[in-house]
Amino acid sequence: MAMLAINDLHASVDGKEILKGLSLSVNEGEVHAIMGPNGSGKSTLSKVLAGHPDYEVTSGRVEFEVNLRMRNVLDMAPEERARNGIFLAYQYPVEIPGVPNSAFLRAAFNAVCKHQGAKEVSEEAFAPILKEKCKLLGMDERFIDREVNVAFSGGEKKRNEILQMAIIQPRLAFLDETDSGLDVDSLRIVSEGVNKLRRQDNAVVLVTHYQRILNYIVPDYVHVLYQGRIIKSGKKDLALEIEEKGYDWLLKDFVN
Amino acid sequence: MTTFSTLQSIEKAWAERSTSVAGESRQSFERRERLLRSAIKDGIPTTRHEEWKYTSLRPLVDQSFRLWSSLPSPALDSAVDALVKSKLIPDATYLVFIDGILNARLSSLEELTSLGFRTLAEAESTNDASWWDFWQTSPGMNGLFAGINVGFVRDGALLELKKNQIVSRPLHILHVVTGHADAAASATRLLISVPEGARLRVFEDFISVSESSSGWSNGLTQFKLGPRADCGYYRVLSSPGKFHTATISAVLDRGSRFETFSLVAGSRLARINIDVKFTATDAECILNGLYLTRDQEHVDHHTVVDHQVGFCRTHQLYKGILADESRAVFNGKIYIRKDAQKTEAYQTTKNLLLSKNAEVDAKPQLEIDADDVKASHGAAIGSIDPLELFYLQSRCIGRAEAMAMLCRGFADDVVLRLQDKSAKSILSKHVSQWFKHEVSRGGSNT
Repeated sequence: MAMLAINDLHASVDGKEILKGLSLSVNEGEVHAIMGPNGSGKSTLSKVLAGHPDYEVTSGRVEFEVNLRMRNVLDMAPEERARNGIFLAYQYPVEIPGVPNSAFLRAAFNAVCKHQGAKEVSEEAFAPILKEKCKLLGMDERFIDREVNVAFSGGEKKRNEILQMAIIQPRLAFLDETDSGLDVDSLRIVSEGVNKLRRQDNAVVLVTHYQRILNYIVPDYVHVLYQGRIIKSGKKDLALEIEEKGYDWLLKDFVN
Repeated sequence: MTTFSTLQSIEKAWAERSTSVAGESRQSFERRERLLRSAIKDGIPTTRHEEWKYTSLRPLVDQSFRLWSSLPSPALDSAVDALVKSKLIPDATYLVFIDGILNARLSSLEELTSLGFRTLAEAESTNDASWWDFWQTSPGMNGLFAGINVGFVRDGALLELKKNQIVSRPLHILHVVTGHADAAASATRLLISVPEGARLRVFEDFISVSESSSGWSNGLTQFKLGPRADCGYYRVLSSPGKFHTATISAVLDRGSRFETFSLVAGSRLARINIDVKFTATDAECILNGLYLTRDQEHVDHHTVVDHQVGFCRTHQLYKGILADESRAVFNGKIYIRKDAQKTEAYQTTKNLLLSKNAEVDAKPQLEIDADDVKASHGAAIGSIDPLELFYLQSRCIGRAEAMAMLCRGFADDVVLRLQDKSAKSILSKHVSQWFKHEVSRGGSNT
């Protein structure tokens, strides 16, 4: 049984259709990469999956396996999707002035605990958990005292996304252009973080422009998204081919 | 009737006071009368008056509060006693007023001596006309409620620090309105002088005993900062259902620093005027505030900062969270006079409306006559940012909890800016209390 099954998904923003019949299936333990030129709908897919209020699904199905049953994701509120294990690492993480990162992370952690029927943790009990995750990701602990993403550098914001992922431990992580705006060192640190969080029973979908991040997080499958549809799927060699030849040769075939 | 309702009734109250106060010096009497008369010369303002456009005094006038009472200080019942004790900041020097009368037992009179403490009556009988000139003419003293205060105030305090005196214990001034039917409007006048090189932190709280009864506190708190003086002034109004008017006035000498915070978390109708004047270079004023309103509360801040000389800095941030049918007014004037070159002045107000029926009238005003300054102002009024809400929801946090976190974050954004650590933690507790009540009553509609 697939963990995620997207079937003929159509979605629009501001009345403009962006996804035009997208289908994708992801199994436990897999890493998928979704590539494609600008404006092909990559970010839209991530946002639709997370339940972004600006995006409207006009038709199609998105199902996610919860306790061995496929459930309709599109019926769920954003927090329900997240609690059931769908995580979106944002391309542009949101700044939230006045809210300390530690309080935010604890609220997320406790929401997961509650959902799973576990006891919520106190501030004191959460501190060592957070400390351990920071250590795992090689992150400065001073991160946690700051306000959520406020005055963070681009690299810090992306690392904070991965820290959130480490706290929530999702079953399916959608990383939306997590590599964009990162220098080589930051890219390596973020990628290593993601790799450390990989398990047999979770899956990662990398949405990216460039092949670069795929050197660190090696995909099992690569898909090319164009004009709101997946026009080609292959193994990791496809990414290398795109790196070498660009997208044009694929698009030419597609256009006619 | 000796009430605050019409001009005639104010006159009558003044006449009554004049006959019932014994042993007052002629100078003192005239000082009071002069300010009172000038304050009421145009009558009680209506919303046609520019300064009162968004705040109607009608609800206050309708209550017909007694302006003057010669009754002895109220007997303390155990409820008031317990309330006061629960509200006192730990490790502070206390000055407690019950319905406008200094309570010696709850105040720390011995420690106050080291702060140059004298009662208002002592200050009135010992200081001469030229000393009084400063306090009678400091900015904001021409306001209606400053005049009413000066005219009818029964008790108050003068605190005159010594040069270079560093006071590490905070001064906690607590005003309690008991709401007793025969109590007059409670007025207190405080004169605080922080001379050259001295340092003081002042917490001033206005609280009330019961929500059901009515009450009116009319505060007047004046500061005089000498060269390089450092003074923090943190005021908290949490008197649900009560009326509150206040005049805060500060005059800043060279290199001094004045940090203020006005927190309003409960009041039926509040009008708070803050006037700051720079009289010499290199001084700094941090003028922040937060109002949290619900039901039909109405909170109005009018602030005036006057840069008469150059090389001074003003940082002002006022934030508000408004629920239900509450209203808030922010009117912030900053004058940068012709000679005030190299002034830096930044003013911002941001408001979060939690209900369609809440209303904010924000009027930032910057008047610049100098040509070499850095200044900005801005006003924002909005609701919860849907992207911030979605971000929290996408991290498993439920909608209601996410809303509460964002509101709290919005408030903390200004509280966390406080430089003084104890002020930060004390004000933060007040904010928590407000939010706790907000959550317990089921939060606000959106």
